[in-house]
Amino acid sequence: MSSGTNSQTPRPELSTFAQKSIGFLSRQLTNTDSFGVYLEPIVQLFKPEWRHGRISAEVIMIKSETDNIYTLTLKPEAKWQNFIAGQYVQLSVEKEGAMLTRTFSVSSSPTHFQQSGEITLTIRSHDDGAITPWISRALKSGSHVYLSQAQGEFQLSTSLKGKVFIAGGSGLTPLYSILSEHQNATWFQNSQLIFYVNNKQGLFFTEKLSHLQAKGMELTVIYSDEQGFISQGHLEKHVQNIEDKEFYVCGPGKMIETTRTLLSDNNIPSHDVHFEYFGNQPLSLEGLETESDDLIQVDYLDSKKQVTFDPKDFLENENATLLEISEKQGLKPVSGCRIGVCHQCICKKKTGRVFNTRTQEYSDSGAEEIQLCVSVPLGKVELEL
Amino acid sequence: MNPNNVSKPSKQTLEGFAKELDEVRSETLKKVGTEDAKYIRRLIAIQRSCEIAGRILMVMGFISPLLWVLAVLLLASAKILDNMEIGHNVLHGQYDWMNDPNINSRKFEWDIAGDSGSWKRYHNHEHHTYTNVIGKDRDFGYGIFRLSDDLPWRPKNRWQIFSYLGLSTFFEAGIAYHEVAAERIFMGKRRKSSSLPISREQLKKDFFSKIGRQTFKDYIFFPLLCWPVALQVLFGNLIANLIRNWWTSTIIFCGHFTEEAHTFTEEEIQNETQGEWYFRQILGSSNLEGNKLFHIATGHLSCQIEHHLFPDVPARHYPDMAKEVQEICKKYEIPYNTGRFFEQYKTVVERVLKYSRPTPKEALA
Repeated sequence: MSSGTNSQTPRPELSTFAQKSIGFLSRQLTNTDSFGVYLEPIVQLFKPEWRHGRISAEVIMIKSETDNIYTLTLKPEAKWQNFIAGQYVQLSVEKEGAMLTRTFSVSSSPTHFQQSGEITLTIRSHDDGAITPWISRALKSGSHVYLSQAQGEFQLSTSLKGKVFIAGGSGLTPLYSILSEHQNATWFQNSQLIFYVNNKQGLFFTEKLSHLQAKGMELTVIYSDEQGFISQGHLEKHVQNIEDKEFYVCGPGKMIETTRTLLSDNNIPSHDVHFEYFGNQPLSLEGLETESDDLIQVDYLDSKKQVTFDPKDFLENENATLLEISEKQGLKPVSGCRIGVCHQCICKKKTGRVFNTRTQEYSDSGAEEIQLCVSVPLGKVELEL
Repeated sequence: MNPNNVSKPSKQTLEGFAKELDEVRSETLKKVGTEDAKYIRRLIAIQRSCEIAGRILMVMGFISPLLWVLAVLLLASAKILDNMEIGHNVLHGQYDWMNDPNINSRKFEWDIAGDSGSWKRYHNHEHHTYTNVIGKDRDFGYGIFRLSDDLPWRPKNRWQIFSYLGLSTFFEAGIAYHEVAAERIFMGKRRKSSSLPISREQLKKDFFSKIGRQTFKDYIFFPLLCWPVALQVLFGNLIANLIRNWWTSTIIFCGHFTEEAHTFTEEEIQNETQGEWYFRQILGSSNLEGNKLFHIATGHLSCQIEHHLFPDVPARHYPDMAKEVQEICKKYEIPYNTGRFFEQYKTVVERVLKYSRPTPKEALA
């Protein structure tokens, strides 16, 4: 998930002299980075969900909202700090022994967390996803998942302009969090939510939204099956005094792109348009055989390099593995057999999907270790290299 | 007898053979999941418990020598588990799919003098790709032993049974020094073509840092920590390390140096197909039969054949795969080398002795 105002909040890790010494001693005595890592498997004998350095959260409830949207209520352990309305968390689950991670916006308010100790994530289930359909099937109340601290810059600005919130489907979640948190603020009386869903069946949070409506928010629900996607006509019809407003947009990638273009055509300055790409960013090559207009891009986080390819050219490229691409960029990742056997070129992929030429499998878009020599990028990929 | 007297099936036959083995692999991979994650975590928990118990009991040796003996055995078991079933298999990437930052081939470091990064380079790549290819696989004889007539006899080979006992005793040092020796870091003429992916300085640094770490822990830190009984702890740690050395080297020698284990030339492996690769891995390796505990203690290197066919499949599946692989080999009339531990080990010792003597031709010359 990437927010419009960009850049994630880095988690500062204070390493005092004492911490460093303990880490050093642990490496000397246990060959692990910390005694916590060394003892983890023993602790797990008694507390299976415990993972060193991770924040666990208990599943309180899973509630179905529509055919393919459900809300996960979680109670994070005490280590989890509060969040700012609009932020997201990385949710990790252990599925069949493998830890998988995805990012989701928090759909409840910080005030609600302070009162109940609970947060909710409202998730759209992707039929071909590895995690989203699985969570609603496999987890139940009492299960454990893992959370990162809240991240993201998508939050309320200090602008005094009237606020227009535009949501597409499950993109409502961070917007609802913001609106719900500030329902007693003065600006709330002058706020507006335009909520796009495919049809009546796609509608969710109806009770919650009518509550906000009663508090003074203007609500417009648009069924795109009938009225189409966002357009100049919609803006003219539903938004008064468009030049005096600021906008918060969240939804599918295409919808955000269209909305940003429309708003810029209406001379809305970009600092008044806040947006959050929601869910998986559109994947450029769903299968290696399919073509798309999006770019293939590799971001090297450690060496601060970036390389992009046109997908059409890329498919004809014979040197398409991340190892070959990286070496062409002058990087020298440790490598070995180059056929996926020796596991020397393993690298941490932070985001993005890759195709494994050895197993013929598509990876997840979350953070995981990949073998560079047999991985082909399918869209935007971030490597810790 | 010459073990290399096995006629190689045609490329076509081997293609069908490879397909059946691939099938065994993919069927097994379907089963890999929650149980494997639980298994490796439980095993690491047992290993850590043995180590902690061993180190604590070691101090109690003054109460009864039996406690000391128990402590040494516990610590040796912890080291064997760490090196074999956990370290070796994790470093092969068998558990990388778990996406666990502490149980993966990139990060894992084992309780042995050899640096895991160095081991991955020469073992996972060199040894597993060029298994038993003379001149390519330095693990075949480690540049110390003459184990086939592929190498000419030299007078030093006469005493190689003693070199073997020496290597076995200091096996962890051998593992640590392996790549450093191959790259001629400290002595010898520098290798003409080296594919070392890190700098020679880095290799040297990693070598000393890992040896230093292991020495500090077992021979300085823990003995000093238990000062009044420092010698007792130091000696106990030493014995535990030696037990581990003997056990691991014995098992590993049984993997590729049994009487029937074949050798190959560089010409033979030119343009090798998957089927031919599988064929070579099977001829070059040998299995040991035993119960579940034995398999775990060997890190499932008792199923060396399956390990060489499927190095990244979690090893606890090897015994089941072995049954299928053996069936397939039978069908294609490919020899499958397996036997009881002592029988196999006997042939290893015999092989070391046999090739310590010159061939009749050489003896005449």
